[in-house]
Amino acid sequence: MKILVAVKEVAALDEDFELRDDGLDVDEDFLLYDLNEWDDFSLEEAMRIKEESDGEVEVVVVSIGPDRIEDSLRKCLAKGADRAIRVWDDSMEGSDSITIGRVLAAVAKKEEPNMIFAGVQSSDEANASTGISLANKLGWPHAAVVAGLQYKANDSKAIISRELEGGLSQDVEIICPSVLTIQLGINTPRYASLRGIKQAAKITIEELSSSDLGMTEQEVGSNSAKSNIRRMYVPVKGMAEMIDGTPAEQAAKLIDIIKNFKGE
Amino acid sequence: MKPENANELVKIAIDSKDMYAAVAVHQIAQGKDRTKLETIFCNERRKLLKLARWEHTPASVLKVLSQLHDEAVQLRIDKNPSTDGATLKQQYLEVGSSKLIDLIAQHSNTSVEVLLEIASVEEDLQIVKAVCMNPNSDDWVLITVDRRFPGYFDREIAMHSNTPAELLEKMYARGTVYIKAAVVTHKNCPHDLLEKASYVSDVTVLRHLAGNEHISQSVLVRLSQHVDPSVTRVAASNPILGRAEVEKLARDKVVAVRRAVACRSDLSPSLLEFLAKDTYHWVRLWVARNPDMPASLLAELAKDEHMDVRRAVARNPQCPKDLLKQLADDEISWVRAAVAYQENTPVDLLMQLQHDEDVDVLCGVANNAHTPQTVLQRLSKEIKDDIRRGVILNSHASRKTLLPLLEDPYYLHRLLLVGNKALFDEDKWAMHDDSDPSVRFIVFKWFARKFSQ
Repeated sequence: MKILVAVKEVAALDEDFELRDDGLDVDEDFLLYDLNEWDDFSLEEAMRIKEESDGEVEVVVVSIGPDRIEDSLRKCLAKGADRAIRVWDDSMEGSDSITIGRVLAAVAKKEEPNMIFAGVQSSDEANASTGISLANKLGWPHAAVVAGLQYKANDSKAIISRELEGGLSQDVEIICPSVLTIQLGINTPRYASLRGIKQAAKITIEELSSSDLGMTEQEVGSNSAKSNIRRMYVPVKGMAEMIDGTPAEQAAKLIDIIKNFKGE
Repeated sequence: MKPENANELVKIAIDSKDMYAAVAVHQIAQGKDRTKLETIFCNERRKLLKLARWEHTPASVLKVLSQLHDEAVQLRIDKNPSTDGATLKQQYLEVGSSKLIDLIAQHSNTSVEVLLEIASVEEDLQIVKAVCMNPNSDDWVLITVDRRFPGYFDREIAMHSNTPAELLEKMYARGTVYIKAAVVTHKNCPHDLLEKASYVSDVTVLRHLAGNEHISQSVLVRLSQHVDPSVTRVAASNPILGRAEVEKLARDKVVAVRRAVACRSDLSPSLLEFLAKDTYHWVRLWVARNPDMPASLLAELAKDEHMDVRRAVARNPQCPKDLLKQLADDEISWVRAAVAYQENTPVDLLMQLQHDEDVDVLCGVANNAHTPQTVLQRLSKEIKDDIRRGVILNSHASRKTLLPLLEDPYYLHRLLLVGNKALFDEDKWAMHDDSDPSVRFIVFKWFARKFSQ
């Protein structure tokens, strides 16, 4: 039994950031990197299934990105993942979330997992599409925003609880193997033990390129992306003005603004 | 091997090439060693930005970073609470950007000398406002602002603790009701002004006046009889209010007033007994916490229908042991948790509570100084972080109890252990190569401080 967990190293903005000269992204010096919060819950769910199983369950984490993402993969290894795969070559630069789903599908075909978990979304891009596009490429059943899961290793079906609008929950039976995108709060992610961290430092992270996955340069990166960033910018602030002062002062200022607006 | 002196510690930090170790020992390093440390943390802009922003970065390192003249770095230095007055002064003298001057004007380490300079020359109203709100601004800075911008910053100046009496009088005379209210709350407000203010009709001013501990008894008595309960409520909280007025207000029909009375620490036994029977549970809760509450009344309150009242009894430092025993079996875990935290809870009750399933109760047991080490050792293996943290924070936890927690998976727990007096230096040094940078920083910093004393 094998569970593949797709994870991502996300970027958080430092305050007072600067944009890159090409205007397409934030200058990397102002970004703080960490494992995507949703993926912490996906990994924990996989670890729970592994630890509750009598048989052997292998948890494999996979991520797409440059060298620096190894920190996040090692964090997953320290928490108990058995193997980690990093997929990258320069041709993958500029991949959109659909392309990432295609690359992950190629990894899944190679690894042949019995179940795939991904986070509902990443905190930096928030497309919420990687897991679903991966399922689509594989032709597997999928369920999004999974807030509860009843599944044991090698089960042919899983009962999932999905979070819906308005505080509703929906219980769904899904045929396995399937792709589930996991919601925050489904479990309590563990901390990596010191021993786990030390052991993880010694594990070799497997590296794959697009050609290792049988993909051409035209199938990955900006060449295949159906969406491209045209520019990134801080929108010009509107006419809103914070009115300072005591309630009486604020009211007086408000009257002044209204009179001014009316031309009185 | 743990270092025996500052030189050895600095050498280890240099050899480690670890930015966090280098930053932690920078202040105790000398000459070439200091330069070598700076090479470790100044070699990438990303590191500079990170350190300039990090609230634990020592002042000596921020000073070095400030000399690099990178505006993004300087912006973070001026926001950093660890930046010292000398660096801020240097920044002020060198930079012209109003954004940076605004941050300097706000900073709690900016000297009064710099604040006076800003107050004297600055035209940007936002920056001047920041000066008025800076606690380091003295009376002369505030007078300077008032002379340049009369009435414009009355709200900020009226609330500043260093505002002199004559300025307060001036602001009271020209100010709105809110300015007047701020003035009559001020510790420097002159007595004749307090007296004068007691005759105004505005409730906002009177309410603020009623809370001032410097008003005369006659004024306070008058305010305690005011028709507006918001005024009498504040008067009821004023520590200088006489016993007779307190007795009267304890019978007030407004709950908020009685509650304010119940919060007082100078209540007589008869008044405690009266308030213990109040219909409103918040009143009973406050008197249940009062250490002067007689045991017989505590016993009644321990049977109260409201769990918050029963919990207050369990928290009372004078709560008798038989009541603690009774409350240790309370159906509400929040009440049992109060027993577990109570410093007078006997060992046999703690032994009973250690088997509770509620995390708050177990936290209380873990925190309690009377909990036996064997119990603490068992609790230190609990999965819940809060319980293990309770053991770490327990001032009586022994070295033997704490040693396994040096490997705690939660970095904050390891970090907390660095300052623990029960642990030996070699125990702490074992964490100098911890996987978490903040733990490494704290270990090196702890040794740096030790060697510099």
